[in-house]
Amino acid sequence: MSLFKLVGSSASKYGFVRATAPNPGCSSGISFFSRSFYSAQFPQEPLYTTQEESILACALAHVPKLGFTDAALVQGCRDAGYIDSARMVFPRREYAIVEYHLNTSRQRMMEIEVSNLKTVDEKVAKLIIERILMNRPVIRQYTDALALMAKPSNLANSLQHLHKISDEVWWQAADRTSDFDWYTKRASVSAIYSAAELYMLSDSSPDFRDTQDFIKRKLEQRNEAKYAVDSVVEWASTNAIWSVNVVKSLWLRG
Amino acid sequence: MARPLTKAQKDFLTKLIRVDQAGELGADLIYNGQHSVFKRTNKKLAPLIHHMWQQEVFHRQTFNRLQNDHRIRPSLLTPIWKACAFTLGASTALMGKEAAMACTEAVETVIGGHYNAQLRWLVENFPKDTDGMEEIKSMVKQFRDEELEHLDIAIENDSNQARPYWLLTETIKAGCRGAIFVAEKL
Repeated sequence: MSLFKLVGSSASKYGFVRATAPNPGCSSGISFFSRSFYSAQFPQEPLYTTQEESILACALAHVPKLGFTDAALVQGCRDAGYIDSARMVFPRREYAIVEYHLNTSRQRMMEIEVSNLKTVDEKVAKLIIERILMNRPVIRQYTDALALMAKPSNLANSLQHLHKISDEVWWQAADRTSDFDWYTKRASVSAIYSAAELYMLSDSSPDFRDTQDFIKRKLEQRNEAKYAVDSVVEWASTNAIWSVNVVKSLWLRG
Repeated sequence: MARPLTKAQKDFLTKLIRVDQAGELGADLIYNGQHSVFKRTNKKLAPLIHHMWQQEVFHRQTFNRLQNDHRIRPSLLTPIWKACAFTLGASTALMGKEAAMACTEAVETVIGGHYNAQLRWLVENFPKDTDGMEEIKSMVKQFRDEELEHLDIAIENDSNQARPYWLLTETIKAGCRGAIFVAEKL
């Protein structure tokens, strides 16, 4: 296994991977917050070529048994009708399967129906829960996935994926903001989502009820904290206006 | 369907919307600051400021809409732009009518040039009648013209009588250029 890895990493280092058509999902460009210009009028670049897609889809199907490992990638290549070394097109090896899972899950988030829910809070809760339940088929192997995501070389990329999930949540919840709370909203959902992922690992309740409750509870706590901050700001500004008025009236009296 | 945008085009549009949104937020609050002073001290001037302010509010709303539609993050320093812009507007207004007009002159000079440069890039890099781009082009053009109109108004209202004129306008211009540079990145 270790020899496998050694061969793989040196091969990718010496440019064995395709040089053209970089895969945006695997790009190493660290632009942590940036999501590039999106427009419905222009087609988006596909994340994967058809060949890559078929290998990764087959590999992901083997994950419940083999885990997020090189072995699953090898099986994926074989199932898709390629030789074993075809996996060299993925310079990040097993992490490519993790990313494929993240990318496809995020795309499936677009199909979550939230238009029947009234408040933004309800929509956010539903979106996070539905997204986290997409981890269900691979949940027994998900510890490995998290370990791969936390590897220093993958960390920046994984955080970008996390941000994309929370960005997608607020986008689907039809929450539009142009202020600084754009950042705080996304940060809070990212925090809740990643905490829930860890919680889910040891959750044995049917249908992951406990995880769902955990998410709802965390979102309530978020709202409570937000309410507290808003109240303090309101109290401070009211007092500021009062004190100006007091000074004014004292001054007028002489 | 058109072809996908190139990375350079996407990057430019991302930057354009972010920096212009921050800029219009600043403009909105500069006039807001000036108006909140002049409505007490100079009743004659207030309606003129109010007119310019309302145009800036419209610009800001337009860029807020674009920022949300195209899923671009707002500038990270939004709270700082807000505080700086309001302070700049209010403090120049407290210095008097001429100083406020000098501030407008300086800001609009930089912004007019900035919009002009963006418009030039858009015309050069998007062929005529590219889907969805004509809207952005005509919008930038309209906003540039309105900003330059504000510049004319400022000069007509004795902006060059401000003392110290040179120091005031050059400082504000340098500040605006610095803010544009930072807002494009952060």
